[in-house]
Amino acid sequence: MSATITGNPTIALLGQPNSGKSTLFNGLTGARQRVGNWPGKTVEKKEGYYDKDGIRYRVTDLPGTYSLSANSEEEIITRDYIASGKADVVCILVDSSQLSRSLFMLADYAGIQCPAVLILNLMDVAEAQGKDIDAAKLEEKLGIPTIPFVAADRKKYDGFFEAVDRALNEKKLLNIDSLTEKYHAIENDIYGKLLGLMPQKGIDNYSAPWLATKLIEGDAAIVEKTQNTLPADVYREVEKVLSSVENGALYTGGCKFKWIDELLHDALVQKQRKPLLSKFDKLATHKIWGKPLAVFIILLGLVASFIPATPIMLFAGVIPKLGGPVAEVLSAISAPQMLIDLINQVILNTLYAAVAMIGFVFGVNLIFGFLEEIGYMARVSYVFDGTMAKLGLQGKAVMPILVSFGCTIGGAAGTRVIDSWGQRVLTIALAWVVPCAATWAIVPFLSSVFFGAWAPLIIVAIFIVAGIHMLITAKIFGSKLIREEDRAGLIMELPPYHKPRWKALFRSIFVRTWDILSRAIRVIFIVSLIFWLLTYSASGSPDKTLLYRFGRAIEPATMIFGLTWQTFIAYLASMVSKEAALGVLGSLYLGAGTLFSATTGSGGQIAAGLGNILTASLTPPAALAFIFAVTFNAPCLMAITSTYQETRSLKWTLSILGYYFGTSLIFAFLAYRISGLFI
Amino acid sequence: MSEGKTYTQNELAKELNISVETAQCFIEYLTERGLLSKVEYYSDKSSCLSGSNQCEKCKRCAKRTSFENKPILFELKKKNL
Ligand SMILES: Nc1nc2c(ncn2[C@@H]2O[C@H](COP(=O)(O)OP(=O)(O)OP(=O)(O)O)[C@@H](O)[C@H]2O)c(=O)[nH]1
Repeated sequence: MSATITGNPTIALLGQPNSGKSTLFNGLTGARQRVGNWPGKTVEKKEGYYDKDGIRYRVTDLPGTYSLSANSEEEIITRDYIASGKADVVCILVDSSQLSRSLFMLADYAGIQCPAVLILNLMDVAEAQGKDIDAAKLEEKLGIPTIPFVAADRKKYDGFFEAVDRALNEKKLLNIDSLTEKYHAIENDIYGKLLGLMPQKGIDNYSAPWLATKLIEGDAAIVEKTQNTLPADVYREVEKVLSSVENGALYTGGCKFKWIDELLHDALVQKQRKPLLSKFDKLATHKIWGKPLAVFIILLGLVASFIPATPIMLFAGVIPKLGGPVAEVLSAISAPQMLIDLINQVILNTLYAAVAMIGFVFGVNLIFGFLEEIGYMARVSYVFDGTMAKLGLQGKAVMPILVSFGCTIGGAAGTRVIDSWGQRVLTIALAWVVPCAATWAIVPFLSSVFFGAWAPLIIVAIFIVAGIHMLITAKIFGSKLIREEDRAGLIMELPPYHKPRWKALFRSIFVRTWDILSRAIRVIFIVSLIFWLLTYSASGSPDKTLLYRFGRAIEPATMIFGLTWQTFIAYLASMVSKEAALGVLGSLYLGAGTLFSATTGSGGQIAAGLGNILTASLTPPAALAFIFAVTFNAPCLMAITSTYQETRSLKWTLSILGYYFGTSLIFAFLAYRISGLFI
Repeated sequence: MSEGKTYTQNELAKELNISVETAQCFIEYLTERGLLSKVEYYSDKSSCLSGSNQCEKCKRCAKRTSFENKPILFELKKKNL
């Protein structure tokens, strides 16, 4: 067939980066290549040749570019070269493993008046992915030689040689009818209008359809080219049409991708993903069922975290019991009483609280970590997008809110992507509602201490109240913060479902758990120590200390909200850090234990541990009031600081703080009074 | 979309009657063209939470606590979709 080819034909290799042009170029030319620069440019130019059946084929490797726009030096070089008519045939290489993306080059090439060959490269990779590509069908639709190819396999280049010869002989151009049909459908047929204004034979190697498309896209170089070529009055018409076009690339891009999609519709068969998964995904992102499913899964997860946590908590119960033997040993060597008390009331208590918490921290992190890892949390954020909109939030607020499940500080910092200040403040105000990791550590612990097997119910109640809280908070703050402004549209690219990578998952959970634990130990220890010192009395009568007297004085007021003076101070401390509440409780109640042990002369009460003393000292409604007060209090001092940093408004930071102080007491009040009716 | 709705790539695909894979490429294309912009959370160092700017050592940062398989958000740039 090559008999009819005259002269030394020139082949240009065109394709997106990594489509395998260099591999093919090297495969064809071997050592017969020359590397230089494109005239006046820093971009590498590779030329070479190969001989076949007595004909010398010159090959030019064009720079790898995404499309034929004029966005980069490479693209301009590529385009100019093609327009120059130096190539006799253009071989368009595409990556068969990602045809939708790769074929964009072909769509952008449509309308260039140079014979072309479509090379479906990396066919081996596509096959390994379970893709079945019908090259013959594509050829039928496109009208140009189309071949499956593996550039890396030099033994199988025959198909390539044959296709090039065919292209050189038949000189067929890419069939663009169905693509231009789509262009015509763009609003007001601007395409048709522009097409009518172009010279019929196009300019250089660019056909009128290609030029019209590029004009719609606002391609500056092509606008200039037409201006220089067309008569002034015709160009004025062009300008008039173009003045009505905004974001033209959006429309032409849409047409191109739709065209690609139609091409692939019959020509590409992809082995289906697991049908079960896609069914689950339908449910997980369902307009109606997605939300209850998400709530159910998260609640189930939170409740399930009690399973690993409970044995650990039981084990922690051993720690306070060490107090007795330790005290005996220390007394035997006549250590000072203060040291014995310090170990019993501060150190062992700190260890007890920390170890008892750890199971919950681990459990909650495991559950949420797992849901993240498999890709479900991304669905949750999508499902609640509509709810967020109702709260007056932007779609982008979803991440800060989700991150707040881990840490409110992170949530506040995450609001930085939100452009409107009011939206940002509202998002932070709402992120405060979301119970953070520290809350998820101490609240289940306290619930277990007070309510045993009923503890999961408390978690469910908190979850529900948090939801109501958000609605109310959004109403209150939203009205002042959000002006009538429209939400920016969003596209959320959800990650595919994954099999969990257990090793990485566990590693990150251990890091997080340790992080929370070490912090808790530090905070509880320091706070315990401070309050222990404040209430320590060598005489064994802590009720003489200033704090006790102060506490007794305020108790009538705090009891309105169901808070004893001790739990009230613990509640105040939780504003600094949630864990601090445990430190305060330990010292104040174990301090009472000191009082008790001092008068009875036995260490028995201390050895009973914080858990027992708390259950003995607080009624269930009072305990519930405390749990709600702490949960819905301001998250922590750092979160308050970062709220100020992000809002840059003392007024709003204080407003939010005051609001949370007030509402948490109201929730405590309600929890106390309502539960008081039943228990 | 200009009404502030949020779409997933699946919905976009359904809306435009194209495959999900093509929809993803379309999103990529629009982003490259500056019609959509990718929302980058915690992209700058100034958002370091500990204030220490020692991102490698710090564990508390939201970068670490936020999950890996998060959705990628693209925001509409100009009001014209
Ligand atoms: N499995 C397989 N790998 C291939 C094939 N063709 C190319 N590759 C590999 O794909 C990668 C990219 O190929 P290149 O030839 O460098 O791609 P390119 O289009 O020249 O990329 P730029 O230089 O960025 O324009 C290389 O690692 C090649 O080895 C093929 O048909 N099958």
